[in-house]
Amino acid sequence: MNFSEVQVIGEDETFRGSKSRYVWLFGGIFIFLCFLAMHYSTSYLFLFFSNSGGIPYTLISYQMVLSIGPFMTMIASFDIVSSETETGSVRYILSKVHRSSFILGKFLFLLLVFTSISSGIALISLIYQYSGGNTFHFESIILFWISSSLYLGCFISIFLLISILSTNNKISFTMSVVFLGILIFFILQGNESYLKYITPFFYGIKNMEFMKGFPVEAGYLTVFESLFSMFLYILVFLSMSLIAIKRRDF
Amino acid sequence: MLGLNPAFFKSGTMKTGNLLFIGIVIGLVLFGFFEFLGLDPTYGGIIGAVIVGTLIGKKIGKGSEKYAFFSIFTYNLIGWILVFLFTSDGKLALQYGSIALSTLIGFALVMVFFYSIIGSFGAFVASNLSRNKQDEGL
Repeated sequence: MNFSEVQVIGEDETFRGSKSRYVWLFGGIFIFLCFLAMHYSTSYLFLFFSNSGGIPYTLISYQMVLSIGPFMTMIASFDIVSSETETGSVRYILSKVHRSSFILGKFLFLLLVFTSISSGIALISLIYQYSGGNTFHFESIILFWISSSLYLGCFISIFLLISILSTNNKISFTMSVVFLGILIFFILQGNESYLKYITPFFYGIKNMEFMKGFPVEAGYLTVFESLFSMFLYILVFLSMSLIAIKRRDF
Repeated sequence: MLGLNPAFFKSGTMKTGNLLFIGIVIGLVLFGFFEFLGLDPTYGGIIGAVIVGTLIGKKIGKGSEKYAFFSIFTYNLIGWILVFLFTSDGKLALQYGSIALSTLIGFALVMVFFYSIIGSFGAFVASNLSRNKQDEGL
């Protein structure tokens, strides 16, 4: 692996890649949906929270990220490698750069896009807090930013692995939908089931209670645990992706 | 006679058919083993589906997802029919009447469908992670 190669791939994807504009477009739609949720937050709160002092904009944004984020990530990243495999351009790229640099470059590009999206949503949330006359909760905003970036990073690594394993976009999309369905099935098994630990949803939901007010004492450990678990989740799937790309014949 | 031709036994069709049968048998053995251990049926179903799916994926290679799905669906169906017919819990469930029974059967079918999907995903991953396949890639 060569870091300059990773940088080249990442820059190429960000500024010159044909897929780049679609990814940014989906990101924009995602931010707009979060903006809509915050804009109509009074109705939203009426539906979900009976007794609340001040509108928890960070919590609303986080719930949007938890629910819509996986689907948006899937749409943006299911064909990140499989489209190159389908057209055959992956052969030319892999003749110039190392396989692991290629994958890490793609991953960092998507992580950069979704971290930017998280930043955008956090900024809108901050603006709404300011205009609503609420007190600023910078800790909650930072927690939101880190947590949602890692949460979306988990899904990026999952769909990247599926994209590497697929020979064309159709298979990649089908398998991404199937895997997302499996994860939803696992989380729906309930809180007593051990299957919840396999899903990123569990680690994301764990942080939800801290979006209204930053944790004190024992809460810090819970936050650290869930953030570290999401980081490990990303590492595991990224390692699997690197193993997969090294074993594949293109 | 096609059966006397040695080339037929070496062909992919015969191999796939045999593997499907072996997959169903291994699945039934695992199903029985997990029943014997008293493991939660959800965990047992998922573990069995992943094992059978991975095995079929590694042996058949590309396009093994549908075979894994079929194999896992079949062994689960056979397993649950045997459980309903030959265990005391199954007989108790059969005595409850039509509405409770149809709900139970519907739930079991949905679970079996999900196990089959999990198994076919396992087959997809295993078949694409196998090294040096001539028919894979571009």
